[in-house]
Formats: sequence, C-alpha cells, structure tokens
Amino acid sequence: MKKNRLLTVILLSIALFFSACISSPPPSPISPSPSPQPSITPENTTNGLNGLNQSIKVSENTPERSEVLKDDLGYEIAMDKTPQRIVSLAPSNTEILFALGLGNRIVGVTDYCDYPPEAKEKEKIGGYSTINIEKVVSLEPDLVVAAYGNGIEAIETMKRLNLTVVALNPRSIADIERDIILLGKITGTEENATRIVKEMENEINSVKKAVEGEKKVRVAHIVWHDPIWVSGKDTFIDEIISIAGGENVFNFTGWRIVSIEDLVSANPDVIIVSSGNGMGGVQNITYSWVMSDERLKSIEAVRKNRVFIVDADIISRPSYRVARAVEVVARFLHPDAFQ
Amino acid sequence: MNTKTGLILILIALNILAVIVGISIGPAKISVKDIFSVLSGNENISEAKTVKDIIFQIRLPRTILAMLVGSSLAVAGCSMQALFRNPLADPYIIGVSSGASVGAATVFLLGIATGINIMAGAFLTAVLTALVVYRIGVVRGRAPVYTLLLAGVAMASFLSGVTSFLIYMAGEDMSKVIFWIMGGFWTASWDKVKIAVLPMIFSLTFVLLNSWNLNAILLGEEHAMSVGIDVEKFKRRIIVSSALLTSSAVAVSGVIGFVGLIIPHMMRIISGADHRILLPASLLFGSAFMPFVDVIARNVIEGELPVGIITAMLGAPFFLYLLRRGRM
Repeated sequence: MKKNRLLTVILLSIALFFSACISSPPPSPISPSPSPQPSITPENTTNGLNGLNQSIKVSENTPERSEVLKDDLGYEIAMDKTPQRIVSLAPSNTEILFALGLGNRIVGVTDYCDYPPEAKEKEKIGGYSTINIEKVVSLEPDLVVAAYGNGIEAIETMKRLNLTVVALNPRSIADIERDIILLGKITGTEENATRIVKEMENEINSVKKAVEGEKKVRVAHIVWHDPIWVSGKDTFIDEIISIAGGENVFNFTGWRIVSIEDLVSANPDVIIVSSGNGMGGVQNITYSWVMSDERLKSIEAVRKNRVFIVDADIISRPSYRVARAVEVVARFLHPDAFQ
Repeated sequence: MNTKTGLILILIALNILAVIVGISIGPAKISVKDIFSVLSGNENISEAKTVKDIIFQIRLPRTILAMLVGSSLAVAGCSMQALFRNPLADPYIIGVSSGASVGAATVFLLGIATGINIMAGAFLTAVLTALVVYRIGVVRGRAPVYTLLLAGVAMASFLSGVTSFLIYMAGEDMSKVIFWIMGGFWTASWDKVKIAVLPMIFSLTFVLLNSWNLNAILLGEEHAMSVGIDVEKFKRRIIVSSALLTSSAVAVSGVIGFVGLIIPHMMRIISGADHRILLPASLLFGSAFMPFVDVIARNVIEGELPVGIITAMLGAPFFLYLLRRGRM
C-alpha cells in the first residue's frame, strides 16, 4: 500500500515533467525581423543514423531556388539569398568552404580548423563537440555549416535562435561528394563544387584503375597503441582501404580496443598508423611502438617493414582531401602499380 | 536572529549580483553600457537585435537555469546529509546520477540525441534508479538508512559499469557522452527552464516546509518518532523530493558534482546546523554560486569548459579553507 503510494508519486512526477515538456510552446522567433527569414522545418530529427542521410533532392537541370534541399539531418533548407557571413563548425566543413572559394565569407571556425592555413586566422567559436553558441550568435552569421559531431542538441539550440543551420553527416565518400554539391548550391558556388567533385572522382578512378587486378592486401589501421585502438568497418579509413585495393583485417563496426594477441593473430600485410589524431597535434609514438615492440616482430607488416604513417587529418576528416588519402594509401598497398 | 537575517540578506544580494554578472559577461564582446542601454529599451545602438538575443535568449535563461540547478542540488544534498546522518551524503547517493548517465548515454548511442530526448532519457532512468534503490532498501516496511546507503552505492557502481560500456560502444559519439556527464549549461534555453522549474519549485517548497522535521531526524529516528513524526513516511517523502530535484537538475544540465555535497557544509560552517536557517541558506548560496561558476566556465577558455570541472576545482579549495578556519 505504502509502496504503491510511492509509485504513484513518482508516476505523477514523471507526468508533471512530461506535461511541462509538451506544454512548452514550439520555439518562436526571437524577435520579428523585417527581412524575410529563411525558414527551416525540422523533420524526422529523431531518425536513427541510417535515416539521416536520405532525401536530398538534387536535380541538376533545375537550378532555381524552388527545389527542396535537405541537409544530412533531414532539415529542409530554404535560403533566399546567397550567404555572406558563414560560420563553420567542423574542420572538414572549413576545408570544403575554402575550396569552394568562400574563404573571405567565413567569419568563424573551430579551434581545430587548421587547413588551409588561412583558416587559422579566422575567429574561433570553440571546439568541435564544445562549440560556444553565444559566440556563434555574436558573429551574426547568415549560414552556419554544422556537423553531426556538434551534437543534435547544439544544432537544435542554434536553430531555435533563428540561425540558418545546415548540418552535414557524411558516412562515405559518396556522401562527402553530395555534401560538397549541397554546399555549392546553397552558397552559389555550384560550378566550383562540381569541379571539386569531378577532381575527386578522377583521382579515385585513376587509383581504382591502377590497383585493378592486384591481389587484395590485408591491412590494419592502428589509431593509438595504449590501449591498442583500431578501425573496423563503417569508418572512412575502411572505405579508403578497400578502394585502394586492400581489405581491413578487423570486421567489427566502428573503432575498438584489441589485444596484442588479436593484432598478432590477424597478421596484417600492411599496418597504417595515424599521425596526430585528426584534431591537430602531431605524434608518431604509435609508429615507434609498432616498430619496436618485440611481441609484434612476427607480424608480416613489421617483418617486411610495411608500416606506414598517414596524416590523420586527411583520412579522418570528411572533406575533399579524402581522395588524396585514397591515393596515398594505394601507393603504400601497391607500390608496383604506381611505377 | 539578527545575524541570520543578515546572512540571508547577504545571500540575496549575492543572487542579484549573480544575475547581473551572468547577463553581463560572455564570450560575445558586448559592453556593459550597451547591455544597459538595450535593457532600458534603447533600440538605436548598432546590432541591437543581436545584443537582445544574446541577453534574453542565451544569457538570461542560462543564468536562471544555473540558479535553479544550483539551489536544487544544494537543498537535495542538505536533506540527504540529514536523512542519512552522514556528512558524505550528496544528492547522487541514491543512484540518481549514475541512472541518468545510463539514460543519456543510451540516447546518444541510438543517435537520437535531441534536447528533449536527452532530458527525457536522463530523467526517466534517474527517477527509476531512485525508486529501485528505495525498494531494495525497504526491509519489513522500514528503510534503514544504512541499507539504503549501501543499496545506493552498489546500484551506482553497477550503473557506472553500464555507462562505461555504453561510452565504449558509442564510437564517434563518445566525447559527447563524456561531456554530457561532466555537466554544463551550454545548451540552456527557456524550454529547459520551463521543464525544470515546476518539479523543482514543488520539491524545494516541500523540503523547506519540513526543515524542522529534518532537525528532529538528525538526532536519530527514535528521537524523531518520540516527537510524533511518522519517520518512514517522512523519509519516503524526503527521498522522493530529493530524487525529483536531482533528476530534474541532471536532466537539464548533466552530472554537476560537488555542489550538492559541499554547499550545505559551507553553509553549516557559517550558519550552524539548524535546518530552518541551513536549508534556505543552502538554497540561496547554491543559486548564487552556480551562475558565477558558469560565467567562469564559458569565459575562461575560448569555447566552453564543462561546469563540473570548475565547481570541483574552485569549490574544493574554498571549502578546505572554510574547514580549516572553522576548526580553529
């Protein structure tokens, strides 16, 4: 009886909590603005990751603004003018925006945006998972290019503050190319976008041609050595490896810690280690460890001295430079094919 | 009586100062002069709209949310310390924080981490954990505080194992889960204030109305019974309101450590152990302390620091200082 009453109290409190959630009115515009606001309709924001990438309607023969553009989180993008003040919330976004020729319109970047070097001169709006929303608002951007890594909550908060936010969440090289085109359409630099994508395709196709018919090389990508942290399926490096004519020795999804025993028994032909961690900073400690630890001497890659360092920035950032990473890795895996 | 009124007045003044500082200082370089001219209705300065947005839609809700969370954690901590008659008790002692972390981490892992989902996930698992701990702690209709304490500790270590597992599996979302657990107000909004304010005000009022009973129970359950308190019923109510306070706080701001443990102790050193003054003093000091700490969190580096880092790094030395002085 008493316990039941306790339960009732707790259920009531939960009801109270949710009634507050529901009764809170939909986010209203902060203050009426004389200019027409770009309208953004939140749609299927509660989709899982798989649902995030769908539904971009890009028809190449109707460049008018009437086409419905959606970002990677499923939000519709409606812009009535070309953005002049852009804030980028990810190093990859910054790289793409600069490549599109928008460098002088970028007014804010993250602490980690270091490519091209000019990006370092821009105003900083905080980290990547820790963006400072007040700082973003104070820069008065008319376009914020966000990333899934900023957190859906932060993206929502910025939308509620009436910022025009386009969120990217590429999961593959094809996604990156689609996002580049999307940014091109939004910023009126579609020609540049098409050219960049074309160049990426050319680079990747020439690699594919070069490694065609070569025997698949078994590859491990070691992110960090203490604990040993490796890349599995559904990672950019995995896609890069398979295009470059290799196959990942680890078949789990995402990144995991493995033991020395796992690594030795997987016995990869080639080991790739990252320099830095994709967020700036350089360290080749992992490389030295792989080359010097006695217990790894039996691994094919170590014995044949086929352990390579790849710039973490180009293999882990979803920008156009990933095409370059494909070529770099392919040259490691199949040096003879590039004679 | 005079010194008590004095203390409360000082604390109220600190709260007013906290609001002023909270809306005046931020990474956006707005001069105090501009802020006051916008507040007084002057629309003529350049960028008046942006300044207004920053003050009313970012800084003000953030400051108010910090005040609500600070006072809730301080009051919940204070009542837990009295109920468990244990100076180490804090609002999280009945497993609320570890429960909330599991809920939030699950939401991140499922890739559905919208603001409302994070709050709902954290709140539900927090309340559920407190309920389970209480049910485990009840033996033959009574809930001995030591059983409750141990049930809470065991549950917390079980759930932190679950959280670590979820963090490990979270892949690229790992950092977001970790930052959420560290606690902060960086996505504060009026919506969050609206969601938290009702359960918080309700529970704060209830605990404050029972400050005399907390005095009685601090002297032992037999004593409390002898002065006519239905001890089991009272304990249950205090646990429910503390769980509500803490769960709401965690849902809107993550796990902010230290505040609920130390602020009641600080006030105890200053005001004494009478809950009729200790509870309001803790409430007021908690609500003034948190916005100050948050101002530091959002200004000390480019970007943001999780607020829990500052509460611990700043609060602990201050507390140690008070502890030494109190002893002498």
